Amino acid sequence: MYKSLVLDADKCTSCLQCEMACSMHHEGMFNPARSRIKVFEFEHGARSIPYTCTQCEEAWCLHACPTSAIVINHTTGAKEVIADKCVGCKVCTIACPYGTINYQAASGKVVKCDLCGGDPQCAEACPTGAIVYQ
Amino acid sequence: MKITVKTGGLLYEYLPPDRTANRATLDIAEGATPHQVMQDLGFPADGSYLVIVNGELIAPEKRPELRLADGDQLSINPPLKGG
Amino acid sequence: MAWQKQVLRVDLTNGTSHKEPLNMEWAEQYLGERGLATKYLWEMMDARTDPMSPDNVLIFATGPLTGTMASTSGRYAVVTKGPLTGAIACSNSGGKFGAELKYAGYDMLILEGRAPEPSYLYINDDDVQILPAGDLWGATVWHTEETLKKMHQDPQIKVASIGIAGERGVRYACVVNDLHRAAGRSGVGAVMGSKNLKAVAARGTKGVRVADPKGFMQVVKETHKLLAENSGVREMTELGTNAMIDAMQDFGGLPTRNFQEVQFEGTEKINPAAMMEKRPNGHRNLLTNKACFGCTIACGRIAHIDEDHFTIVNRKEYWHASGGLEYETAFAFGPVVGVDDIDALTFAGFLMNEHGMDPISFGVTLAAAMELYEMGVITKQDTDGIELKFGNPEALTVMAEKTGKYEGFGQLLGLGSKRLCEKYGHPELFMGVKGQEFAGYDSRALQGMGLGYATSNRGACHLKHDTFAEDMEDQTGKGKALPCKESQDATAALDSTGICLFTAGAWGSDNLARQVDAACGGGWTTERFLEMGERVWTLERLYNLKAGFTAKDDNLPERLLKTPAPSGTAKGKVNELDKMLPEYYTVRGWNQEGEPTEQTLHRLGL
Ligand code: SF4
Repeated sequence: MYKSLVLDADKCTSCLQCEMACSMHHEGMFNPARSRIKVFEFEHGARSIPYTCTQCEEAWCLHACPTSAIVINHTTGAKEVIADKCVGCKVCTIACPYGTINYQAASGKVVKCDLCGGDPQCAEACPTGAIVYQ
Repeated sequence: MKITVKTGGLLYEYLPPDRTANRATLDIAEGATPHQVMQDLGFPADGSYLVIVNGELIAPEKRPELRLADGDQLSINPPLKGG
Repeated sequence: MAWQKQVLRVDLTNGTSHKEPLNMEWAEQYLGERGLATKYLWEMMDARTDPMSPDNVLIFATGPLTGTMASTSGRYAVVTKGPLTGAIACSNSGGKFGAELKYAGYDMLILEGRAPEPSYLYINDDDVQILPAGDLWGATVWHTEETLKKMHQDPQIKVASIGIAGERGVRYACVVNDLHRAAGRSGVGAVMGSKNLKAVAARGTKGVRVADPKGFMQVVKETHKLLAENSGVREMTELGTNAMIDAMQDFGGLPTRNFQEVQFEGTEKINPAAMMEKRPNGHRNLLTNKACFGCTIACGRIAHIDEDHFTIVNRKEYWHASGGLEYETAFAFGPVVGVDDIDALTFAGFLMNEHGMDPISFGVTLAAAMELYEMGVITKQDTDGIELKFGNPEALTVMAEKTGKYEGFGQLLGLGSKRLCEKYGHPELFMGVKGQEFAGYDSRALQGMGLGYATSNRGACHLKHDTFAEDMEDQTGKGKALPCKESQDATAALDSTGICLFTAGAWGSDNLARQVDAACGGGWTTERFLEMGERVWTLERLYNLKAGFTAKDDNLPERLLKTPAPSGTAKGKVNELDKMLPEYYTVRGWNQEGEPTEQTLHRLGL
């Protein structure tokens, strides 16, 4: 069994430390707009829900990709995008039923959660235990 | 002799299990000081607290000196900030 | 680095905007947020300007740490000349708007002039548009925020806006962002209204870089840990700032019924325990806690009101959660007006956010009106038939709504306590300094607080200095001047970073300086950081002196100086301002007229 990111909305305070940690790791800057994990807020903040790729077994994105740019990392189980192979056609973004693989205009490629190679920075940054890697 | 203790903030966590909310009645030794009572309850020694006995402010240097009397009301609040 | 090095200037009169480089020479001297905005304000406008005229300048400023992973990094400040006081206004807010503005690429947004028609500003990275407000003029903050997100089809937009109170010039109208976070004090929302500006809607996707990412992340890790392990921070997380109310009650520093008393018999009905209590019908006031952007403390409370409560029983639009009681709102709707109905207090809080008003100034103004009513100076005829007695929850919520909508007696309450009391011939009932109402601490019990109130540059304020520790140990004027001065400088420095004041206890200035240093590319020692704070404080003072304030205005009401506290630990005491103030001027390097000496100005490079 691979470890996975366990998200507990009840513990989320919507501080967005996860989004900043994610963007720092992947983009070298603090930029929630480019984070692979997103927190959604409802009812004036009474509910805050962190949300990212579940690394689902079916891996619709992987199967939909015409250039085989999405591969499985067999250490972590993460479905990873090989940026060099991605041509930015966005077919994967349509295939994914969860909306967690997204096109990034700045790079012209898609991005998704890659579990940071087994040390997910969002879980590391979460102050309340709403995101745990286990 | 018996005194009543009332705590503010999360300091009720130091009160004995038979507390009601943030209040407890304590059986203490004759002549015990606020300092001793707090020590016995396990208040971290390095913390700073607001200590009041019967409505009177007890400065830190007085806490090991003042002898409590039967029926005294001791109120302990955590260090305060902001708002 | 850390700074975006860009300022967005908007000329509302001519409907134009342009981007200009941030003045880095000033940034090295004043850092950002409060400090840097003060410098810009000082350079850009004559301090004698009427605050409600188009010549007033309104600045939204982020700090170098805003939008970074430093904990509590969501802060921004609104700096302008305040219409409540006539002094410099600097109101600080959390939520998510500040970080978003910075992500759009701007350290600061400077608004000048007055739009010819009600407008709002839309910022999407480089795309900046001044658009007609249309139907949004006259709408609530909550409606405005929701509508703008829909109109621009982007739920990620962050909005800072004003309600009717701000449009109509309620003297303590605030700017509200993210539904329930506010640049609350001194009437900065009224300035926005006077500029015909309803809202700023911002969306930013550019991100923020720091000079030394590795070093910064290391410091951030350590400073996060300091917060996580601090017992005071844990109190904030678990109980919220209202944890303070029990201590103030025991201490006898909880201003009650317009500061006639210092302890409130209803405290236990509105304290954190009451917020968390499950009632027989299953209702519980508090739902959860919530963080501002980047904050690992999460002091914010999200609460809801019992649907059967008189305030909302027939008003389904309020059958939802929103920002709950904090210490200052609990004080301003509770003890100072004598009300102990927690649902009424919570509803009053909703109304403040929805209509964009400062709860402290509103509550203390209402308290003065209640005292006038009980004295028979005003009657039911003045108050639209409402029994304006201390303790009447209906008086609280009805007047909150009337003031928010600028109706009936609410228009007079919207003047603020000073103008209201003067109007009715009882200036002595105004509880505040320089036209701004006190927060929830009585300065007969907290001596240093009195000095802080008297000398705060934005009028009475509890957030610009920190002498709590000294005040809890000794209830005389002795030894308060120096810690007051030093904490004022440290707070001014902190307020210039983009960080929340509630980190201060766990971090101190050195841990802040370390984060600034790693983010800004070095050179920020604690000494330089604190000197910057002193420079900011002194420049604010210079602004006020130029605006016409003198040492006479560093004062407290007679009630606190002559009428002894009736109960509590300070029973029989008055505030000893006359002893503290001369000493304060001396430690500041000011003359006894309260003016910085040449030497002091020179030392600070002013
Ligand atoms: S401590 Fe409270 S006010 Fe400060 S940033 Fe965190 S949630 Fe916001």
